[in-house]
Amino acid sequence: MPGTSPHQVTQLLLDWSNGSQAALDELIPLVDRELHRLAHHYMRQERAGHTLQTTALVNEVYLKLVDQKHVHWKNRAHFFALSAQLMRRILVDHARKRNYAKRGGGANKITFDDVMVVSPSPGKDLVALNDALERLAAIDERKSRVVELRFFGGLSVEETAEVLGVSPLTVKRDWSMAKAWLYNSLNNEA
Amino acid sequence: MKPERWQELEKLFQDALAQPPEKRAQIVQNANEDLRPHLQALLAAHEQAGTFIESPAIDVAARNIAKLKERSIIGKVIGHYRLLEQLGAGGMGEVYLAQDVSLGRQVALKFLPSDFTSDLERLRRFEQEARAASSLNHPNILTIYEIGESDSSRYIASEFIEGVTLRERIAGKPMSVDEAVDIAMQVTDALISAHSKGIVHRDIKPENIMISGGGQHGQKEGHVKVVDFGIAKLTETQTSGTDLPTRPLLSTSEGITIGTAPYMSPEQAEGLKVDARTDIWSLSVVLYEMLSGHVPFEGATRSRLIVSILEKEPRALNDLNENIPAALAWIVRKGLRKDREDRYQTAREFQNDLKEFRKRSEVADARTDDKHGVTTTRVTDTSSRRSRRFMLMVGAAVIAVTAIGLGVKYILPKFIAHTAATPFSKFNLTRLTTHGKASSAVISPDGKYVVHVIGTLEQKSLWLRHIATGSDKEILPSNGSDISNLSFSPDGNHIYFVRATSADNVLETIPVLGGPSHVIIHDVDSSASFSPDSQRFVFVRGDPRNKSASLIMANAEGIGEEKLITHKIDDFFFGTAGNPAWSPDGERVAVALRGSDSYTNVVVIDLKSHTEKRLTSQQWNAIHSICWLPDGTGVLITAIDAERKNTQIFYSAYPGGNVERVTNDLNNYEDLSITSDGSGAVTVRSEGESDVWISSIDDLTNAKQITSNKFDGVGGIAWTPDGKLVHSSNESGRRDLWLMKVDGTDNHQLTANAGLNLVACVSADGKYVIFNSNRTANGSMNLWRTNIDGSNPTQLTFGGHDVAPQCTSDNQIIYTSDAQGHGSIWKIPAEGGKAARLTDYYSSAVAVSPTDGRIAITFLDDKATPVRRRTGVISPNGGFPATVFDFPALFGTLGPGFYGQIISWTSDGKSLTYVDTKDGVSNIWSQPVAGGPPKQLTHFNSDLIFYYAWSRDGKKLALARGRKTSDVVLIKDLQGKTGN
Repeated sequence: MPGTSPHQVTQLLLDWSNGSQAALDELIPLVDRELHRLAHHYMRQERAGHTLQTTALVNEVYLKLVDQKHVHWKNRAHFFALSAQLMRRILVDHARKRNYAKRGGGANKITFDDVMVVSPSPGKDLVALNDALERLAAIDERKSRVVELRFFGGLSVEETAEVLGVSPLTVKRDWSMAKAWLYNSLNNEA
Repeated sequence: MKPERWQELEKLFQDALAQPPEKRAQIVQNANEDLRPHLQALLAAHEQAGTFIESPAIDVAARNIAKLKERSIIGKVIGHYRLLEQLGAGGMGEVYLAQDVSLGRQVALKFLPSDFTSDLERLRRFEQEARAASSLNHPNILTIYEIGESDSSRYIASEFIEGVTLRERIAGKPMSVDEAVDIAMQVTDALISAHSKGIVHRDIKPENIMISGGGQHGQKEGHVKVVDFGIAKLTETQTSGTDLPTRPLLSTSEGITIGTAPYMSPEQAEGLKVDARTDIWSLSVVLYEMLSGHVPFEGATRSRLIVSILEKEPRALNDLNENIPAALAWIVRKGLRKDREDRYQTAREFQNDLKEFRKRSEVADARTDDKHGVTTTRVTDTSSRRSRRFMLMVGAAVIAVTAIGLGVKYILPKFIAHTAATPFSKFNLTRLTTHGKASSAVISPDGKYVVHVIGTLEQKSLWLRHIATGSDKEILPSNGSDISNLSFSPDGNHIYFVRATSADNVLETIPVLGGPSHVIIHDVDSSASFSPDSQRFVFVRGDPRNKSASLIMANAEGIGEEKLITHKIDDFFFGTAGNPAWSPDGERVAVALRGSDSYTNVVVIDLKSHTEKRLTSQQWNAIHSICWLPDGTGVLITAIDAERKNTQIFYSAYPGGNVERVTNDLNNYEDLSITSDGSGAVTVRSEGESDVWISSIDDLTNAKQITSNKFDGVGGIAWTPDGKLVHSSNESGRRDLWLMKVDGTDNHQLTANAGLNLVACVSADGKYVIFNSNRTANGSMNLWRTNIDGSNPTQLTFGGHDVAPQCTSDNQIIYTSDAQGHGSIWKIPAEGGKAARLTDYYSSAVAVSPTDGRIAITFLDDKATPVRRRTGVISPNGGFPATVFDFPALFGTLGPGFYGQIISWTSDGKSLTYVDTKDGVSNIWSQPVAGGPPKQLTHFNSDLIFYYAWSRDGKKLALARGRKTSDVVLIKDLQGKTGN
């Protein structure tokens, strides 16, 4: 499948941030396509018995979705933030829809860790995480943004620091606290 | 939590993390009581969280999807198949039972392993083989319905057989002699059929022989189906199979991995090129195993096994199983001769001996003169006098049969049950011609004769074939006109045909055995179909002046015309002429008509009331032929379906209108006719081959072939400003656009997984490729644009049928749309935007001048006599043509959908070039627009030109050249639609 032009995505992101619903409608299938391409890649790898070694692939997806080279450095942070919001929105919607479709289908209570890839109803996790992230935002806005940028936006610690205008150390500290809080929140509460 | 408490909590948390774990308890102890549980929980969570949310969300989500897909593939729809259950998995990939959601039938769906599909070379070879195998129609060969692709996984959809493999049936024990011979004979039936088409199985083994359990699909218990013809070898993976002790994966000189070791022939073991005789060896191994429960050649390691195959003689069958008649043992040994020259040479020979064995197995004491023995064969095992005597007996019998020749009739065991659940699920195809130049054919009502047209466009002659003897007689020599649309009078005495000249299309008739032809009626645009009493006939006539066409009835002498129905002209002629078919009860006529949905379907006209009723509701782009079954309960149709774009045979029940596919392969089936008792039908089957060639202006005829996928360029070629080529190819298994360098290297795909993609142009700035695609859900052709690297496909037009884009030097696109119910010319910016109409009359754009933007068009000239399609030049802003040319028509040489000239401007904008095809050879000519004689530019003496394009500097010519072969095919044993 031919790649999505990052340039076009950048424009759509901008349109979306300016309130264009149409831009979102165009972005969703682009992200979906990358998502399914990635999923398909995993399936093929597993069938072939390969271990899942995909960091480069995931990075490529993010690169496709934000035109890092061509965005002016001042706008860079803005685009990173937008793309993280976009991914969050689309992926969570995606998961929500699947939960809806699977409702009553014996969705199991899952533990939220990396093993979740084998849980039968993993879509639920992203929804639950999203809810928890909203609760975290009410307590500590910046920490929830750190999670949004890193987990949904795929940004490195340094990039996250750039977007938020804080030091990388702060991002690391925020991250460890937020991660523990979210993990606890998902596994021990509610 | 209040902000200040949260901050305190965080501080404690970070302080604790800064300490080694054993010292953290102290910090917890020192914490405020109300914060302590929170801190404890957070620290515990920190320890447990591990890689939680460390992978980006899209990675997590994608893995989840992958897992869900893996788990829930059952119930999923792949292509048009719903997966019902997994039947098996192994090195050959996974096999599922699936339901064809469009046809309702159950199929077996085999997915190719992923490492296989990633190897393009293997994939290409596989598709070639599968394409050949899919043309096999034999009751003992598993029918391949489709080779498909979905989400980049490839699958083969085939007939589903409920039963067991021969491997399971043998289960390590000897089978009865009768059953073993019965199975072997059925396999030879399959081999005879496949070998006659040049297809060698190459991996006959018990796993590839299915035995139906009986009780379903109308097949008796023990019916044999050979699976994976010609493809088993190609789909094997390097890691497959642990079921057998040795499984060598040698490569032949052609790089083909070869078969399952114990069944491998000596020539396979040696890596030599194999032929049909390798299947005879392997079947003999299988027969040996069925009779004894053991394979003849064994070895603890691969190399020992190979030594055994190459050098050792197997243990005598009688030693393993006393019940095996020596004659049969002799037959098996003859099949296992190391030197293939000594083996049975054909599956037919093998089968004849098995048959003879069956007949004679009762006469075990028959005395035979030793002199008739088979002294020339190298029989190395003479384990007993008894076996030798039987061996000689069989040898003598073979000689006797040869002496009597074809006069000997055997009572053939009848394997094929005659109650098919699906109509026409089984039939036999026999090729009647091999010259590849048949363009039209019809079978006589009594099934004795086939009349067919041989020849290229302008040189067509009419021939009569007596089917039983195979003799041919020319009944109408060529006189430079086109002959098509054959039909027989119901009494079988006369043949009717349409002779097309540039002035008129005339229906003529000629006696079956030849003689003078005479004209029945003028201005006929379809074949004639007669009433059962031969008194009247119906035909279609177009009226271009009034843009209408009618179905007309006339009496047998061609007078007393009566219009039955009248429609817009394109409704009859969209694609091909809608050949009418008069029903056997005389009460109705079926005809092809395009509906408001742009698809063509069968419409039935009641002759009493003159009312029309749509019979089928399919997405067909065009219907070529319709013929009624003799009992009037249905029609057979050849039609182009929107998805596949090749002409296939379909069946529709009447009056129900349920449609089923009869053929499912990559060939085209065009004319179709059936005998009056329904026992046989005749069609013209065609296959095309096209590759891209390049030549230079210095010597245009000295062209160099740069692609070899056999389906390249036919859907369009375009040059980029920097001298690369965009071309349409089937290399991906679909029709996609590819970009390559002019030497054929660096070829990469621009479009993928989305409908048909063809007829491209490249924008003047080289940024975009503009092309036709039917990838949207409604399947209509529209203009699309991608960046030159294939990224960012964007839909430009949204009409019902927007085709043939031409890029202008000012970044506009000129194209043809049937937005008004007929073709007209439009313009749209390459960047997208609003389209503007340039013409309002019947016209289509064919080329834009590179110098001044003038547009060469084809149009229906209704002021000319006769009214005809002509080529003209209009201004960049539209209007009527000032200059008009009559270039030769190219009908018939191109695939479905391409029926006009291929016209281009020379780079100086002074001349138009066009293709002229004579005697099956195409050449390019140029015609100065300002006037003057045309000039021949190329002097090829072979092959057709399907498409061509001049480089922007005019120095190079890219051509899609190749052949189109079409032969007459006889369809026998078309099984009735009982129980339908």
